[in-house]
Amino acid sequence: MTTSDSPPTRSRPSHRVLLVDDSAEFADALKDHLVKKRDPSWIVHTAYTYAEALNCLKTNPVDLVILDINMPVMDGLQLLTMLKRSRPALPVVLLSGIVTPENRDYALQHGAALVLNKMDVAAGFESIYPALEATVEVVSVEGFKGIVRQVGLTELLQLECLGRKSSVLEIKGPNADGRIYISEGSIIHAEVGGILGEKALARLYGLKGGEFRLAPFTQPSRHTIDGNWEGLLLEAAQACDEQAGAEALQESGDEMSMDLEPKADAAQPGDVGRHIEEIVLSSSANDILHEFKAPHADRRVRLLDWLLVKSAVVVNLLPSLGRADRLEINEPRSRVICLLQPERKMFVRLSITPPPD
Amino acid sequence: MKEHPFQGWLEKAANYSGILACGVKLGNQSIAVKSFDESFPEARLKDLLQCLAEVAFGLRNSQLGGSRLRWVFEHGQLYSARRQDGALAVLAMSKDPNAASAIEELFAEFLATDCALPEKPSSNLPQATETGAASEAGVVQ
Repeated sequence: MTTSDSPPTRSRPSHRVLLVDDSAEFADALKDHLVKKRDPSWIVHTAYTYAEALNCLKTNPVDLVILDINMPVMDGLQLLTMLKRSRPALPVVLLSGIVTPENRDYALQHGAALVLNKMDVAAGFESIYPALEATVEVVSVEGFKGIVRQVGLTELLQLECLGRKSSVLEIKGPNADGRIYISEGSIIHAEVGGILGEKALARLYGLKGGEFRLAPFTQPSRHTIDGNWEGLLLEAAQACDEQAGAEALQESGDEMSMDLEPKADAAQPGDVGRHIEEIVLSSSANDILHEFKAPHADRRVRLLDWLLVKSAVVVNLLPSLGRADRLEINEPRSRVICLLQPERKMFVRLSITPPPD
Repeated sequence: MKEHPFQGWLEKAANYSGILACGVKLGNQSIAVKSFDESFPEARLKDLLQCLAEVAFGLRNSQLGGSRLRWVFEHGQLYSARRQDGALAVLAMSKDPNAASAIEELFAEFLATDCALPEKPSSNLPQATETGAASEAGVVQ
C-alpha cells in the first residue's frame, strides 16, 4: 500500500481517496494524475489487493473509494457490498475495463456513486477528475442540496411524495431544463421549456441523463397537475417507455437533437376518461407503504409477490428479455398496472371511460 | 399429422418487424410455437406459454381480467391475448415503435380465427398447484 506524500497546500478541505486496483500501473498513473497534475489537496492511498484496502480503511480516514471491479479473490462488487454495509455514507466509484449493464446496475443498486469505464478513464484522465471531485463534494453538503447521484429520479420523487414533503426538483438534461413542484407530498406542477403539466412531467421523467437536485419549495406560477402521484409516475413511466423505441430510431448519434415528445400513439398521461380506482405500494419485504382505496391491500401485495415470482420464471426462461419492469392487464373498461421490481412493487387499477364522440 | 389450427397465424407473424417469437396454447392444452430469434428457443417458448397461461388464469380468477396482457421487460415485451374458447396467443416483441400496429393486426386475426375448440380443464395447468398458489398469493378472491 502506498500513500501520496503531497500534503494539502490550500485552505480548502483535502480529499482523501483510496484507490483499489490490482493493476499497479493503472493505479499509480491515476494517482499521479490526481495528485500531481490536478490538485495537490488530494491525498491518495493506493491498495493493490482487497486486504490492503481494508487495512488502509482501518487506519486512514477516507472520503472516497475508487474500486476496480475485476480483482482477484474478492472483486470490486463484493467489496462494494461489504463497504456499504459498514460505511453506508462512504461514496464508492467503480471502474471496469468492460462496464456491462449487469455490473453497472448491480453497482448502482448497491450504492455505488459512479460506474466508470476504465478505458475511457485511461484515454483521458482529465475526464475523471471533475466526476470524482463532484462525488466527494456531494457528501460534504448536508441534505439533498447537492447533485444526487445515488438515488434515481423515481425514487427521489417517491421519497418526497411518501414523506409528504414540499420541494422543487430541478432537473437539467442534455436538452432540457425543468422543474417539478411537490407540495405536501403532491405533485402540483411541472414545467420544461414551454411545456407544462403532466406532459412536462412525462418529458422530464423520460430524460436519459442529466442532473437533478432538490431545492426549497416555492409556489409555482400556477398549478397544472392535480392527480395521485403514484398514478402520475406510472403513467409518465409508461409514456416514456413507449416513446423509447421511437427515440432510439431518431437519435442517430445526435443526442442533443433527441425528440422527447411523446408520440401520438403513446399513452398520454392525463388522458380524459382515466380514473385511478385503487393503488397499493409495497416494499421489497412486502410491507404496505401506501394504499389508496384498497380494501384488500394485503391481497394485492400477495398478488404482486406472486407475479414477481412468475416474472422471474419468465426471465429465467428467456434471459435476453432482461429485467422485468411491469405487467399491464388491459380490458376494454379497465386497466391494471403492476410494477414488478424487487425493491418496490405497485398495483394501480384504473377505470377507462371511452372519450365522448 | 394434422396441422395446428393456428399454424398459418404463427407463420404470418414472421412477416412483421419486431416480432421475435410467437406461440399459441389452445384450450385443450396443445401448444405450438414459432421463433424468429435465436435467443428465444422454441423449447423454452413452450414453458413460457405455460407460465403465461397460469398468470392469465390467476388474474382471471382474481377478477382482474387478463384477456389482454402486456409484460414489459428491460429489452423486450410480451403480449398475450386470450380467446373465449381458452386459446392463448403470445407475441414476444422487441421494443420496436412500429410494432403496435402489428400486434393489433395479429391479435385481431387470432381472435377472429374460426377454430372452435372446447376449453378443457388442464392437466398441465394444475388446479391444485396453480389455484393453490394463486389462492395462497391472494389471487383468487
